[in-house]
Amino acid sequence: MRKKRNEKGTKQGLKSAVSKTFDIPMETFSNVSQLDILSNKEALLEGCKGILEYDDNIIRISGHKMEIKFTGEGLTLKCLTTENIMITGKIWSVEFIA
Amino acid sequence: MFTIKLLRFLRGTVRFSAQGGAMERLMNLIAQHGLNLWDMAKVNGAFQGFTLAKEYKRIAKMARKCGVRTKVLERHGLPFFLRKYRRRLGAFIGIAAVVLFLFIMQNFIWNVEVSGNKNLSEEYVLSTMEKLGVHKGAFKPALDFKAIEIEARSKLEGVSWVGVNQSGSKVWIEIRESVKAPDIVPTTSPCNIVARRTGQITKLQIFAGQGVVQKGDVVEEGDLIVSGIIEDPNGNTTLRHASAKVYATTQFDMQFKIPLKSQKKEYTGETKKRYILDLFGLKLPLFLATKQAGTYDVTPSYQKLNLFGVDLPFGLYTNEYKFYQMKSQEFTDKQAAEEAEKQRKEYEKNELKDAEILDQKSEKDLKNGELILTVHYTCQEEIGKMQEIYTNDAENQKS
Repeated sequence: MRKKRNEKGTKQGLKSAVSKTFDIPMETFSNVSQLDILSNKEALLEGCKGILEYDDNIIRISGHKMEIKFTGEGLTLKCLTTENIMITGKIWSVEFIA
Repeated sequence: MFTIKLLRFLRGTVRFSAQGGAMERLMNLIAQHGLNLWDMAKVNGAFQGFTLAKEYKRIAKMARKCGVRTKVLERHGLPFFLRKYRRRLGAFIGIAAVVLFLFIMQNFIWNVEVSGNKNLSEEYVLSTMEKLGVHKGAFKPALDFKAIEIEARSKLEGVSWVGVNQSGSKVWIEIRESVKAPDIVPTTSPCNIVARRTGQITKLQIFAGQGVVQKGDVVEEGDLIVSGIIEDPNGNTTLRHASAKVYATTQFDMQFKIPLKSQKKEYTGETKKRYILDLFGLKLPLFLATKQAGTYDVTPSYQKLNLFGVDLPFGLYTNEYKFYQMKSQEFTDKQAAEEAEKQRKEYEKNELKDAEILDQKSEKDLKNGELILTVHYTCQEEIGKMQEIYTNDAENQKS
């Protein structure tokens, strides 16, 4: 894949360029994870590959090209499907590990 | 959310616990296989979650592969409920039967009520409606109430409007009776006054028309007294509505016959009641169908059962049998005379109530075992009667 350089000179993906040019939301592309967080109570992650670690105060999920780590208290998997995960409980932090 | 909960309830859910082994691997497997898993949380060191009853077996199999020990904690939902009560098949059949019964029964008419009838009898209306198909036990979807309403208006006599309403299994028939036009000669149409009875006129009051007879004249029944046809000196005739009060002295005979030998019903005082249960129009006799011995009069009656003022489709017919014996009765001459006298008084009271009886002579005679009382009446009474004059004009107006 050919990579373009933007004005600032940083690397930018083709998909991101297309989405910027045509005003298409990024989540339309399949290999992008989308995370919706409602206060510190609920988090919905769309587009994930699997669970790496699961406990009541730490959940690590493998997303696209990165790992997402939730820490908190009494974390519950509200819903689990192939693509989406919903986590409820008291979320302390969300970390993205590339 | 409610739909999801309902679907989960219908399919049955299982709450299970999972302990040890590779939890993450198990969850990834579950997700990959598209199995349902929700509300997974750690409670007292063990994971607990929910899944559908059918999918639990597959999850348990996967768990064994991952070295996770699973255990069912709770079972919820309809399949488990049915399983629990599967031995009580009768109860389910009963519930289903009741529901089915109600579904079927609401398609029938169980009650027909008539309102608004004053002169018409309820029986007449009901029997006419029955001919049109509206009766107890009739299958409702087969009836076209609009058409029946229209037909009923023409079938029922003496009715100006009929409404057939239905609500559930009840049908009520509303009736507006037509007002019968009084049978009088209209004051505008021409008429004569004629004699109703033979007699001698004692008083004549003419309000309209031309008198043909005078006071003191004798008229026979049907004779013209006051004419509605008036002739003026030029020979032109005009038709009028004659009106007059004609009083006359009349003489006529009346015979009262009393046979000396007669048959008379004498009730023995013995009564018997037989009941017939009315169930949705089905008549179930509550007695053995044997013929009653002896002679009797039957008085039928019907008692509708009602609950809190609502008529139920059940009722009870009661036939009351009153036994009697025919007894021959023999009058003595004196008794027969008394009986005849009684009849005479009855006649005078009813037929001669407007007349003034001036004189009466009675004769008694015995003939062929009968006592004949002949009374010669001389009365003072009104004998005028209107008689319409039919003209071509009047006929034209009528048609």
